[in-house]
Amino acid sequence: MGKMVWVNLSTRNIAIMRSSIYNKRFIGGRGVGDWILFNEVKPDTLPLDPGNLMIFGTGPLTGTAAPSSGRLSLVTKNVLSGGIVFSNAGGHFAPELKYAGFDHIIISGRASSPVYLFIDYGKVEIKDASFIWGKDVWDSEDAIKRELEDNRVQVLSIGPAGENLVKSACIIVNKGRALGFGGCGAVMGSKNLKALVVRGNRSVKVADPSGFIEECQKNLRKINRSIGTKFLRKGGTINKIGPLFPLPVRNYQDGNWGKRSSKVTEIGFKKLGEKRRLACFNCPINCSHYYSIEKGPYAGLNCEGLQINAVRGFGSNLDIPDPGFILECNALCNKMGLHVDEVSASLGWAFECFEKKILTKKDTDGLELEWGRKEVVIELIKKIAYRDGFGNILAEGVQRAAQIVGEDSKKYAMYIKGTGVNEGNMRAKKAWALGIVTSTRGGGHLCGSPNSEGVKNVTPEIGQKRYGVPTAGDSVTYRGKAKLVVWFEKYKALVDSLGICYFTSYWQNNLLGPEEYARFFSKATGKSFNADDLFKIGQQILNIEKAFNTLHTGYSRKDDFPPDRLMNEPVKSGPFKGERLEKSCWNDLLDKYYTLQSWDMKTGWQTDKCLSDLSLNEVRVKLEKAGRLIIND
Amino acid sequence: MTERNFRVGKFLKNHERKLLMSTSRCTGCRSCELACSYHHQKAFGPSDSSIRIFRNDKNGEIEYVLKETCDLCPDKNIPFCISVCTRRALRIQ
Repeated sequence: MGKMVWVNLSTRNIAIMRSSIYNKRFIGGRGVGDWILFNEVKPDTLPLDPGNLMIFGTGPLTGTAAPSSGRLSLVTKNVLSGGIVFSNAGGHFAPELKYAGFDHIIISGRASSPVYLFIDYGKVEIKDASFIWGKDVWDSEDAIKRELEDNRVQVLSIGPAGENLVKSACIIVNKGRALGFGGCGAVMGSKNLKALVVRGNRSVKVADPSGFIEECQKNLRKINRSIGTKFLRKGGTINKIGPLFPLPVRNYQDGNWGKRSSKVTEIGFKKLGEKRRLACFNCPINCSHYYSIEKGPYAGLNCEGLQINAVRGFGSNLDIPDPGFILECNALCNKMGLHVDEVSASLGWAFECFEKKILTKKDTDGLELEWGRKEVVIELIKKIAYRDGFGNILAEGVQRAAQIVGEDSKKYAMYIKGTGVNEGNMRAKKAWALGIVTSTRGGGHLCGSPNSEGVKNVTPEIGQKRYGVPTAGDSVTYRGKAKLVVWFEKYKALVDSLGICYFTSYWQNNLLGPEEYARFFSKATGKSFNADDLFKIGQQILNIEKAFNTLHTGYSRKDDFPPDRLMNEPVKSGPFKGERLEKSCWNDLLDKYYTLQSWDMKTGWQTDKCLSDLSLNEVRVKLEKAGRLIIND
Repeated sequence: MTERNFRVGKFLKNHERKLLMSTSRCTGCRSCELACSYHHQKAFGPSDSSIRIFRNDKNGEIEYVLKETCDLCPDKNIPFCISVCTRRALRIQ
């Protein structure tokens, strides 16, 4: 049976208990994390207070032979939005945590001096981290391995950004995988916690070993044959990029980069010096890649590769079509412990403010923020991490930075619920946009955004069969899109809680669906679950997050709108020319979305009926006490 | 698939048949470790596995260790680790 360890860094108290009571109800990972955070953290606790919790978690499939079973989940209070944040990273940390005997680590309090946590074969120890405080992520990881005289421990750590409480700080696993969202690096920094280190030698048992392994092999064959796998194996998500692929340009002034995008395709990155394909733990897809650059301005760079968000953030959105530069920025963010999306949204805003003469050289420490200036971008990333000069403003995240600079700059700040936006093609893909906007962790496509829009083989028949939505493959229509998002919100919540990667799911083309996951889950736990049971838990998880946000921030319908620019300024060129998110259509979409969720249409808040149907009585009581529950007639 | 890319596991030199591994094909996913531990223990734990894969984050190289406990799965047509390797990075000499 799995265990969870509660570590209070203020009192240095460590308590170990069984995790089954939580896992039974909410599966694991994100579900369990949400439930603990909801119950233990009060609305008046600020994200950087010692009272905030960080709940690192694995799922019931983590560490097993189920495909892509290496996902680590983190839930904490969101520094940027004030609500909840769940984040998810690959690499090899999560399975090692399972092998050390733990399902979850819950951190509270604040250490009096820098520490790191060492989990060694079931023992948990708080160790001094003064020798690595101030070091970047890569150096810290190396130094920890030297101190422990073991190259094979798994490490996650924060960099200078987290230490300096930068609001876009993230946590880096295995030097290149990020728990990125919601400033969770700053939460870890506020606890004076530099790193988590884990080493284990136990094994993970499943209830029905032979049935489970048979299921694994069957699905492995399915994954190997899938179109989605072939696509991702070739170049990960950057394989999508081609001359007609829509990318945000110059802080979303346009949604089409035209011919310039052909410079940052998978081939462009391969030419840089792709050394090998890389996979996270037990992943048949290997969407990642390792680069060793030998020639040119970025010679000497050795690092794991990137996904499409870095190409959007540092490439098209800053108008710099240079794969080497994008890789350098991505690596720098990994070293500093910065979240690519939030940093690039802040930079896009700053560059546009400079273009519109709202910011001048006087404000930016003498730097000229002209589009395309690579050295300025690199300099600013470092300034953000160390909160140096103008970087101190950008370190607050794009929303607060615009508040500091003032009125005119606000209309160029691209954020949703406090979180900077680095997303592709929101104006054209309506469900994609709705999923980003209604995401319970702030803005972000990894909550309810489907990836089916514009995909050729998602025909009306397949759309109907998988999601009950025949228009699932159409990009620009609003029809059926609310239903599609609701389906994916539940689905993603359960995938995150199982501890496996979203890339093996229906989300990417043609892979595993809810029935497959139900079979895996049943064979791992020995209890019979079908897809509907899991979907109900997924819906519960989403509703816990929604309630957390309502209680802690009061977010309501008015916050479920995209940034004004995406509603008012259409795409100027390319295949989606003229597309925008019209306000009246958006309002209709929201009405349908709230109805399908059984939430109140006027406020966007949860109803008495919705929470009773989901058996979330504890949530209902808390919302009612706060006056934020809508009682149905 | 060139022969020179395949390396003999560290501890298997005296075995009659050898499990070879291509460090250039391997992605470091460690599926083979899970398959092997399942073969030995009916559970999933790399420390029970005869094959171990380690990734060096500094240069992207993959290190490969084979323990003497490797029996090349006599109960199966091909060793289980080979059948789960999607990159075909393992083979018997």
